[in-house]
Amino acid sequence: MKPWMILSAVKRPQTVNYLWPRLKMSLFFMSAFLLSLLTYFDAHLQTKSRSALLDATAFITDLCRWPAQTGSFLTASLVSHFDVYEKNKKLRDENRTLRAQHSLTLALAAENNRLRNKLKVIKEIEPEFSSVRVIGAVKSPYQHNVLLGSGEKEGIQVKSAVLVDRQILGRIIEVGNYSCRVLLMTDPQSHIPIVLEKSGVQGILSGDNSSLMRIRVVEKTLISSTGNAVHSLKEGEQRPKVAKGEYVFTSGQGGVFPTGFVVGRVVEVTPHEILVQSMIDMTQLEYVQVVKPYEESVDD
Amino acid sequence: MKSLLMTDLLTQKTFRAIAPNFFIFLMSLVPFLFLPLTHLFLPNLGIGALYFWAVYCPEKISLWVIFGSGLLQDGLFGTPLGLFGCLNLLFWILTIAHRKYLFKRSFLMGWFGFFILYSVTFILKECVIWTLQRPLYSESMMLEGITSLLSYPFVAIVCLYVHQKSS
Repeated sequence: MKPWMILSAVKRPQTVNYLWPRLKMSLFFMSAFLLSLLTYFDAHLQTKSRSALLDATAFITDLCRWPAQTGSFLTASLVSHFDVYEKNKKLRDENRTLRAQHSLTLALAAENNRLRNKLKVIKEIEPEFSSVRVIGAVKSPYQHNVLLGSGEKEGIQVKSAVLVDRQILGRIIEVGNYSCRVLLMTDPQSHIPIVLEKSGVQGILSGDNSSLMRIRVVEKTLISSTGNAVHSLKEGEQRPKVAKGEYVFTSGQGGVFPTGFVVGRVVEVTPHEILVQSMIDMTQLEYVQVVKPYEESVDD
Repeated sequence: MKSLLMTDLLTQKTFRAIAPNFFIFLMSLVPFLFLPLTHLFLPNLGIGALYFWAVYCPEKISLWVIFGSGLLQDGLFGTPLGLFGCLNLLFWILTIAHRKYLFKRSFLMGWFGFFILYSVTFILKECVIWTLQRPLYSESMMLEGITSLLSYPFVAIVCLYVHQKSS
């Protein structure tokens, strides 16, 4: 055998490329890091890119929602068959109470209209709604929000209020072409101007990432986050009395939420804050009502 | 006949390549569906699937999928884009680096390894989010961590089934 044939017969050792996989990993990591920095400092880019991502995933989320919701519905139906008699009795009692309250409500509404006409109060524009389907719900430690299956193409706008059976759910914070995101009342970034039913106290209702909401800013007394009063009441003024079970309504200040819609009920009153709970069943969300923006009319 | 066989083989090959990657996307999406109790907390099922594939079959998973599932979670959770992508990639790197201690071990050892690695990523994630967004403490933060750890056996069983079908 010739020498050069021996050399050619020896197989070269396989060189294992360690560099490229590590380089690829580093590139991905740096891209993710730069993207997070860029979107954090540029809020507009963050909103636009998240809306685009939301549109892209809305179809998949909607498709996956149907079997899960059907399964939940079937399970709930099966479970409810075991306590049909109790539920029936409870519903009959509720129906009786509501019938009695309905006639009282009609009388109060008629009296309210008569008084408004006498005082010549300018009639408020009734808000219009559009029903939108819920396609996903996110209750993470970072944000409490709900995803809806309609977007800019259907006339949905940012900051529109969202209701469920005439109760406030939240407001729209991001809008894509075909989907949008609703910030729930329980999110810490949510602040709603409210007024209490009986005491007439006005304040700001804020979420704190739990199932309850807190009224921290009360008319005439500013409560700080530490629980201390910043501005005390004037001499002779009494702290307004707030009772448990009192309804909380939107006051309409700020122009985002329409006036007079239920937000929740007072569940606890402490010296430093008032705790409110929403009456919306988050497990049964299927359709919500989005308030349409007012169209301002210009007099020629 | 030959062309049918070739088509069948191609379909099987495509399925084997796509199935694990698609499964990771699906696991990232599952917590956002209307399932019982998800109105209370959201377990991170995608991280369990990432751990399983990183330990037992890392070559089947593309880095694009890890990055993309992170982007999907960012879009749905409402966190800054790229954050979950960074964390998923970091988790992947950590798991690959410690793979020799986890491969061919008992299931409990594997679960313990997931506990250690996920805890590191979880603490880092909460520190970053607290710095960026300053969320208030809530029970859902701890519930998310605990349920993600406890859900690993179920995720592993499903991943094993997908792995057997795709190999």
